[in-house]
Amino acid sequence: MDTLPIVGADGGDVRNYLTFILNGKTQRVDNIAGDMTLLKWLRNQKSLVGSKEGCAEGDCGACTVAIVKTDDTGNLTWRSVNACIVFMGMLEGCAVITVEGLNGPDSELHPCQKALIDFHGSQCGFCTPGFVMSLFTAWSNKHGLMAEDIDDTLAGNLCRCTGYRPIVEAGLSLKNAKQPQWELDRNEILKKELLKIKSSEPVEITNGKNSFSVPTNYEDFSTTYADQPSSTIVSGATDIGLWVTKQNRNLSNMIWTGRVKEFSKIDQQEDFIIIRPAVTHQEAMEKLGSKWPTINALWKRFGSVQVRNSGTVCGNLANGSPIGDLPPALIALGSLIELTNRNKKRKLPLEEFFIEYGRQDRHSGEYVSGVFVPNKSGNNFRCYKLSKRFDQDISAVMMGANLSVEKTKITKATICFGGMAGTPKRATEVEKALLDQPFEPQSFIKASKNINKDFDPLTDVRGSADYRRKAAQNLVMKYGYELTGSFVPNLADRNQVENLVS
Amino acid sequence: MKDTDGSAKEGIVHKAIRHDSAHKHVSGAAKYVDDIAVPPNTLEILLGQSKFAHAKILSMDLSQVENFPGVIKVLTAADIPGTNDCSPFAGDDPIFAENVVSYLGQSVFAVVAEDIKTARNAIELAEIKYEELPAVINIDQALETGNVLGPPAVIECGKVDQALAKSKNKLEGKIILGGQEHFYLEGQAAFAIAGEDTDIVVHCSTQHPTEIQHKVAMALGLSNHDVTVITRRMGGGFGGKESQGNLPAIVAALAAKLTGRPAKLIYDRDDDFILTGKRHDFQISYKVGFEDNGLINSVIVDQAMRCGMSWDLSEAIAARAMCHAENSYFIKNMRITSHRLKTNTQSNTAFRGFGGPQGIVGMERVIDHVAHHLNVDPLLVRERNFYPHKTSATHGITPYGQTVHDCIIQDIISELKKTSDYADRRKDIEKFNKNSEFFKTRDFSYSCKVWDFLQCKLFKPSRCTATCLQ
Ligand SMILES: Cc1cc2nc3c(=O)[nH]c(=O)nc-3n(C[C@H](O)[C@H](O)[C@H](O)COP(=O)(O)OP(=O)(O)OC[C@H]3O[C@@H](n4cnc5c(N)ncnc54)[C@H](O)[C@@H]3O)c2cc1C
Ligand code: FES
Ligand code: FES
Repeated sequence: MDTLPIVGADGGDVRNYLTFILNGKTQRVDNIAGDMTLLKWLRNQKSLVGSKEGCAEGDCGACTVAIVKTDDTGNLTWRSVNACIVFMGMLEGCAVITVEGLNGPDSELHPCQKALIDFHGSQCGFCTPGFVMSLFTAWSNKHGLMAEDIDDTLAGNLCRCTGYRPIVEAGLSLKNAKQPQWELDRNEILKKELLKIKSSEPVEITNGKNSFSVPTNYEDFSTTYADQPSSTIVSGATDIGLWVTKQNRNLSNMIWTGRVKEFSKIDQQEDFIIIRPAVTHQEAMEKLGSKWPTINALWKRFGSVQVRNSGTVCGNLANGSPIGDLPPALIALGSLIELTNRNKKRKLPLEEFFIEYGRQDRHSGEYVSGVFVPNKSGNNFRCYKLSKRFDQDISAVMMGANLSVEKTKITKATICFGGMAGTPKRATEVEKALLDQPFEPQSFIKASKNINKDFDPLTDVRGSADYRRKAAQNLVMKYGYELTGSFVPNLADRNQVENLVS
Repeated sequence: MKDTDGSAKEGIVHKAIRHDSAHKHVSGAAKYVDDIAVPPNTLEILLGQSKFAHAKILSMDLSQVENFPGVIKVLTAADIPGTNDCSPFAGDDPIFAENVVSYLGQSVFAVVAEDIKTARNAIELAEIKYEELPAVINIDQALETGNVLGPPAVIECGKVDQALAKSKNKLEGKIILGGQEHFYLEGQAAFAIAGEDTDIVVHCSTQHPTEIQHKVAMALGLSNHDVTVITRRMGGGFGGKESQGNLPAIVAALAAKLTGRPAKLIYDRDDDFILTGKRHDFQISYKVGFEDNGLINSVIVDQAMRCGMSWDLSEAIAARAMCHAENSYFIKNMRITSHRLKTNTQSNTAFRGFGGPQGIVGMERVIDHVAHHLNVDPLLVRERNFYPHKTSATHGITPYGQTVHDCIIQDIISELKKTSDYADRRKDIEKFNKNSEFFKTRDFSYSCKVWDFLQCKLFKPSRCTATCLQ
């Protein structure tokens, strides 16, 4: 057995079992593989087979469950997640609600369940538990059931039979429905139960082969990881979950960032907004979205609510993917990445972190401890994502761009692409061609030709090399038109599109 | 929906009625195959898949797989007591490939283990030596090499070549239609329990329990009455569980029979994508002769369809594509040729529409091409060529010889034109597109479809309907 030696914050032992609440009942779980997923556990160990496996990779939402916590003010917060890619250790201190846990006394169905029946929202029914749970989390959060956001609420759930209209109508019908008294009472009890199991003890679970460590403070995390750099850092597991379910990889030691108290923060410093390792896309979007509407629009198209509720910003950088959505945007904003090894920290421009495909500037024992986003990046920042589907799709080409203009000339340009090379990469020749040019469409049209000098993209299922080159050129032009005031409809904005065609 | 006399009738048709399982769907209580509480000694199965699209199997050493702790049995063709076939009728779909593999991902053997994780670990240890053979993957390659399942099928009416030659205008073209994955949300699933004597019960997510019964019996060398198939419900099928459920059902039954323990085979989504057939992709080439007013005299259409490595249901699907090739238009001179191409890919199968949509799209393309050439609204060309209305003095005849007595598409289209404000909206769109440099709004048009309600082989009555697409 080769597990991590963790010393708890108080110097005491590490707890070797998990505590969490499942459908109202407190669970104590030990002797379990670190890579056991919540969905497998629910279905195989608890015979709760209402949550379905449609893909085992976070795409279909059939396994959606709600994870409940209390926030700083003691209120309940609800997140929908894909149980197929949640590891058991990530449940410590939370409550999990599955489709079986919704109904009230005497098996009275929950309003979300009733709505789907009344609006004929199911045919084969295999997707239905997932839809119920997505609606239920929106309902509980009192957000996401209005016409303008119902599509986002449901984007992470696929239905192959019914068609989405009746499901959407069911969702919309809930916005005025009243919470039954039994639900309010139940939530009060849940609050108390969550307080009872609240702890700051570190936890480690293992079945003797695969372990999962849940440290609770920054020193513990840093030391543990530096002592055993071969272990796998898990943040949201929206990548790592698939290593297990799809690639059958054997991860012997995992260490989770999610419960480290310093890691869940978004700090505001004078010049920077600092996003720490456990900050999810959803949290970052809620905090930063209003500052930069363009990145808010991008985030809305990042995976789905479930994926954004699990996946982290730092994970999106640390995974080194050439098609991750955030790197081009954050590079365009001039962000820095911070790496920590024990107590040694260093910062570097984000673009320098990506060395080549599959290789990042991260030494053994080092981890990504934050990303520093400049506070003052200007109005000219834009990002554009091109993918085959609107929601829940990986980019074929992704561009983040920013520039400064003085008088009528372009004085600085940062144009960064994803999907065009083995790493997120700046289009330096395009940038050069823009410098000192008049701030007008013609400059962008001319500069866009340099895409061919900057990139030699791949052909794959998402797009051919030619498509990528052409699309990248067009994005540079579109950026120019948009900044200089031509009418460029924002296709990511449904209202704009609907106005155009009606 | 009103009855012909205009009055809604008493009964269930005009009422919104709840799905009889809806309350179970929403509470997670509806049970699918993988949800059935199984005995603790249930085994899980994983298929060993071919690593090549086309290859000879030179040798197969599965001893390490068999000896892996937790593996109970490894199944190959040699373990099948009956017939090594899971095809719906043609006898050309082996359960486990023997000697030759014909597509990437084809089932070659199966690992039966205590649990799926063990099976996944063990399967890596299989040692199979292949000699790669040239593979025919796509339609172009199959046409080039003449790789077909059978000779071309032809339907012809009138004097096609003469009418084409005499036409004022002639065009030719081609349209490529991609395939489509069913993506039933519940993957293929089967769970088998051997009972007393020769009895076996198979729970299976299938659209065709009868066929499962027959195929399991054939493979296991049993009588049909030995095999009970239970299908409570499916998590979607769309044609993908018409014949494609045979393989997992047979393998689960075989494992249960040979080990004496219940056995379950659930395709993981990736395996499901790779193992199962899809909608046929088509290349439709055409020649059309027509007059300046849009009247079509003659059409020659060649439907090349990718069937995959075996027949599966391709013959009937091809027939349906052919019987929809003229769509709702009266084409007096027409030759429809179907090329049923054999490729080293999954055996393509039933999918909603069963070939009809492909046939229809081909003809709609011809119409659009003609309209584009004449620079007129495609709807004019459609209207010019519709089957005569049911009240006309003479009726149209389909290329396969059926008289179309009941055509009402003219009524449907004229009503749709009114209710959809067709003319004004088209004008608006044209104006917008002219003035908008980068962004063009979607176009607005009608597409018509004829639907042959009965199996086209029988050439029974057709109806004309139209759909409004925006
Ligand atoms: C259905 C689905 C849709 C998706 N859609 C998108 C999309 O639209 N756009 C997109 O860009 N991505 C998408 N992804 C990919 C993924 O969600 C993101 O890349 C996500 O940000 C990864 O973060 P995570 O916290 O889940 O990472 P994890 O899976 O926990 O980890 C990913 C990798 O980073 C390492 N790692 C994590 N945190 C750290 C750290 N602090 N220090 C060092 N290493 C670390 C891990 O060891 C691992 O190698 C999608 C994934 C799924 C399953
Ligand atoms: S099973 Fe599809 S998202 Fe989890
Ligand atoms: S009802 Fe079948 S997938 Fe949604």
